[in-house]
Amino acid sequence: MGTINVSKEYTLKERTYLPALFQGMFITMKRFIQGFILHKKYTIMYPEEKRIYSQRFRGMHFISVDENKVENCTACFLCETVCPAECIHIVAMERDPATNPYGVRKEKKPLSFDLDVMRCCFCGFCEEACPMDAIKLSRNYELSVLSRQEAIYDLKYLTREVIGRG
Amino acid sequence: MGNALLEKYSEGRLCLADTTGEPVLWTNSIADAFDLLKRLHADDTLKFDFLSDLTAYDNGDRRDGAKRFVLVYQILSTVTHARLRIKLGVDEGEEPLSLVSLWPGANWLEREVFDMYGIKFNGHPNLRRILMDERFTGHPLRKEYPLRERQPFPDNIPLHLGAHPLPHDVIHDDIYNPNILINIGPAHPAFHGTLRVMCRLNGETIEDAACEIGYLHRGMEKLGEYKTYHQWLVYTDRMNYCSALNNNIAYSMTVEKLMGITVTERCMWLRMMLMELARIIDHIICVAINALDMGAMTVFWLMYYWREEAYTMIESLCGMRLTTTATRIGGMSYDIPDDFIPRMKKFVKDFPSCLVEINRLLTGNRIWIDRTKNVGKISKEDALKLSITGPCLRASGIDFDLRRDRPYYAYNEVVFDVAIGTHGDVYDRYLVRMEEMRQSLRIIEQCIERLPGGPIWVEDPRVRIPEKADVYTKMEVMIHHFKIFMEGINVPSGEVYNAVEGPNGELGFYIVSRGGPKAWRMRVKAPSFMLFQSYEHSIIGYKIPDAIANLGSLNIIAGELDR
Repeated sequence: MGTINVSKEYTLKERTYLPALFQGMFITMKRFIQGFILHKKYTIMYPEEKRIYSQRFRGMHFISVDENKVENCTACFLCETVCPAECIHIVAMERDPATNPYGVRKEKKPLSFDLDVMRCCFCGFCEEACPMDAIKLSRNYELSVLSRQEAIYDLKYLTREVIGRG
Repeated sequence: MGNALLEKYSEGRLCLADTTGEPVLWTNSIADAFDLLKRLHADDTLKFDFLSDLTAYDNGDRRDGAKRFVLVYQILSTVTHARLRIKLGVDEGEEPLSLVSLWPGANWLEREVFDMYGIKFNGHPNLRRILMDERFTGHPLRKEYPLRERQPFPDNIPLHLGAHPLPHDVIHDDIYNPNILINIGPAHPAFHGTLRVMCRLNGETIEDAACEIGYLHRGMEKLGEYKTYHQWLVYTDRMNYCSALNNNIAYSMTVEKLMGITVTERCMWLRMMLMELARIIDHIICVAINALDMGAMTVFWLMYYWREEAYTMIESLCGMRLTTTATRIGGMSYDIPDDFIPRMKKFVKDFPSCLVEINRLLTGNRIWIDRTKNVGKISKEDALKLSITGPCLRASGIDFDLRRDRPYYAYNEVVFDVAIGTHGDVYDRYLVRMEEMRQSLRIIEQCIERLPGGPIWVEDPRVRIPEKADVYTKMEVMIHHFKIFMEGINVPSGEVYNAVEGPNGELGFYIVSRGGPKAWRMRVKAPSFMLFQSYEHSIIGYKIPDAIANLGSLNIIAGELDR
């Protein structure tokens, strides 16, 4: 746990200027040969070639559905409460008890579930908070839209079939 | 601290301890506070030579005395490494004495307090708003100021030179003009779009300068009082976005200290490893951008490859590259993936080759040396007076590193060296950063070796977010899960100041809690704030290209500067 003084004074080698210049040129040439002659690449040809992210990548949201293609969301408002960016807006309604096949498991459902992705900061708190495994993040990172209005996603879009992350 | 020594000063004053047992000294009056600080500053045994932070909080509920506001001074000794917090109650209309005569670094801090709370300082040379626009009405951190009341202004503040008047005798018909006024930034590539410097030039030499900040002010400290502790974690990502992990960890650590939680061994070592990785990333950015600003493109390409590698690793850990949100209070969002340690080992093994290459390109290069040596000098004394921290303080020759001198987590168990410089110029700051990257690799190596198994989460029901599998099957766990997310984490009342050695310097969080899920006062002591203040002084006497080189070496991150 010592202290190192890294400060340096001019040495003769540095004064003469040329050794460092050739050293620099050598590194540049090495990289040039690596890139242009040996074709060592550091870039990818996006969008033809996609960058592979890890299983945990936090991308665009979706709402998982059950076997009848009905959303798992029960409009408990946990995600709306915990969201730091206030980007989730839910209107809840009750399912008709007479025709509800789920019984107590799904008594409520969202009438509307709007997600303003322009506000979203992709922290993943909604997924963490969801007690029904309904709102989830996918690994999709291509989110460009043409207008702000298009970036507000509704329930229909969010319940599309997507593969979740690991 | 030797409390016996402090006794001399605590006579007649209320001496309390905060949640972690740090001493808090309440002063009785404005004159008393100034007198105490002056005596502590001059004391030869205690050697309180450094003003860490100066802030205030709203005491609208009168829980801390009968005065409306409480001023908080955090002072530190770079020799004995002791900290002391001094408090002073101030009513509206009262004017506490300015500390600028003792520590010139208090200048901007006092301006911020004036801006946010409307407390005027007697004897301050230039008491004007700093983060807000000058036309702004009201004081945003007062409790009565509504959260969402925005006041947009269509145009910018006209050019000014701080406290110094603009010269009127501008000679237009002469080639030699001693009074050229120029404005650099905020829309300038080297000024990140958020920093603005106004200079008076004599020929090509800068003779006077003033900085204007606040272009990226998002009211984070105000939001900290309205968001729960859990939610505010997201905002810490956006402070120093080059090393978001460091902010996450420092913030979580502060809240944990406030709650009296000790994280598990595994979590602690992992966090240390991540903090050092974040430090490497931040230094890469600083060195590469500094070189890029001066025209050395190759350095940028070569170093950013490794930054990319590091970000890929971070992304595999927590799912995001820049805005990580990797920690939770009491644990981490995820445990590390299986391939993380092998990748980290590979990084530690291969990254030094990059440092060797950059060393060959820059350190001995006459062009680089001539551009950076003896530029933007901050002497030892000025560095202390201006309260700058981190690599820039060490480059000035002050041997002070919070990791070694006030160790947190297990930094006292790992072996590393502190790099210091002598001249405090751009070249020394570069060398200090290069050496710190090597030392960080050393620490990461030791962390990998000593990373124990076991749980990542502390088993404390107040903060533990239940496992999803239990939430779906057990009723009690489900209720607990709802309580944590609906109400937030319940933090007992108290206060704590916790600082870590961030990549730029001392990153501190001062939280005053009155109980409940939201903080009463969330103060961020950002290193960039003090660094940019020193910039005003350190560019005087140099040329414009030197100012660009100087700015790059200070590594000012606007997200942290303006908060």
